[in-house]
Amino acid sequence: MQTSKFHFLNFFVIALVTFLLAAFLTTFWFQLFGDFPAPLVWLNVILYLMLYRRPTEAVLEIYLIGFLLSAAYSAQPIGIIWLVFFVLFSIVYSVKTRFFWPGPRYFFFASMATTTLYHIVFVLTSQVLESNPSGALLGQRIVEVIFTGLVSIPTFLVMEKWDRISADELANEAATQTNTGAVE
Amino acid sequence: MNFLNFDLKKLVLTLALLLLPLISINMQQNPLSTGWYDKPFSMLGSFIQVAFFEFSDGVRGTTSLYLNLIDIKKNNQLLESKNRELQTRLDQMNELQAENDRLRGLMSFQASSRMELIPARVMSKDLLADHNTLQISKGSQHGIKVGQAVIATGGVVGHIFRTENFTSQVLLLTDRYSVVDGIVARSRSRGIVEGRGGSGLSLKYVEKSEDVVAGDIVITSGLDNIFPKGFPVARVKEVENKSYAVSLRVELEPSIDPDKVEEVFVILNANNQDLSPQISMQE
Repeated sequence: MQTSKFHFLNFFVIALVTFLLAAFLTTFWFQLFGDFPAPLVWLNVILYLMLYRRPTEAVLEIYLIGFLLSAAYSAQPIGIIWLVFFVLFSIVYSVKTRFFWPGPRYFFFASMATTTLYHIVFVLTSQVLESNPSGALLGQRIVEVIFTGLVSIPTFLVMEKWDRISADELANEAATQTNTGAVE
Repeated sequence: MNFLNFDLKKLVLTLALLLLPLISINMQQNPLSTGWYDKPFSMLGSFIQVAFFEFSDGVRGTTSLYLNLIDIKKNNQLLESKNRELQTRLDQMNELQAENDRLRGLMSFQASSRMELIPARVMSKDLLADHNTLQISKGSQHGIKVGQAVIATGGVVGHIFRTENFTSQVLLLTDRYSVVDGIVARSRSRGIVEGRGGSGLSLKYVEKSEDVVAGDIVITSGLDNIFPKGFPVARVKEVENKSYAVSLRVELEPSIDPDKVEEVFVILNANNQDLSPQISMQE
């Protein structure tokens, strides 16, 4: 029970921070840099969840984040976002099972690759499912891939730190419970 | 009993996770419709965006104040040495004049129009590069409703597709989901103005026999009950008449660059205003 409580707390904080970051990117970035493409920090968070969570947990969490972002900050229907995330997760997971080492360097390369894949999958899904599909927007997408790669390492370090803090809390809680049980 | 020797539980789970988006896509008849479950999150997002907007406004104000101070210092040094005070003042006055003209233009547009307009500032843009939407600083508390037209002094900007208490989201003319009924002002040829993402537009379903040339102005027809009749939408950039096509391929350039617009008007009530004669005179 306690474990699920801490898992929930861990995810709640991640979802909240991602929500705030998305608001920052759509408003603050836009006011200062105009239409210049912003890094997809939220995609880095989603990638982290794909790599460092159990498969079912990861998919449910990224679906929930996708829903929050779509409901608040975009005109994109949630169904397409979920489908894109599912395809992305399938690819990332199958690569991860063959080729993975934990750490910021792997995350950096994975971030660049995932952002590129995200754009490709998004455009393809849009071409198949939408009557007026999304265009290439090549320049904008390339800048987004580079920027997202650049912010991937700080994102990874923050996420890893938060996971460690949560895990410590979880271990402390478990230890306290065991000790209390022993005394009783 | 599991003859094929695979994990049935995992397979069912994977299928359920894959079916969820597909069912969602299938059930959504209008991609811009929002459910009750979206409301709390979009409302929360809107509050956060307002906070960031105020903060960024402050940062911009402080930065420009600092830059102005540097300018004043520089100017003083120049005045002491080169007596260029008059020139500097003249520059500043020109700057103020330009700003004054812009604001007067906005005010006179609002005053001269029969339409009931509400001004709003642009706060933020869409999270995804694949959509062209803007968040503006007025919402349902100010009388804004879904479906109302958003314009600037130079032309159509888009329409409201989502409202919160103090903010609203505008689907820009250039978005892929945007369609507006349009007429070529000179020849009265009809068509549908469709966004193509990025900053492009096209006029679709124009019959091959119609008279459309580059430079023509496309205006709103008023038939969609969103935009007032005769408001400029775009200028014809290129017309292609292919022998095998059923209609003309007409590329358009929006009358205003939606990425650069800072202030907009939401039309609360168009009062049946027809702007076509003014457009004809301009042409």
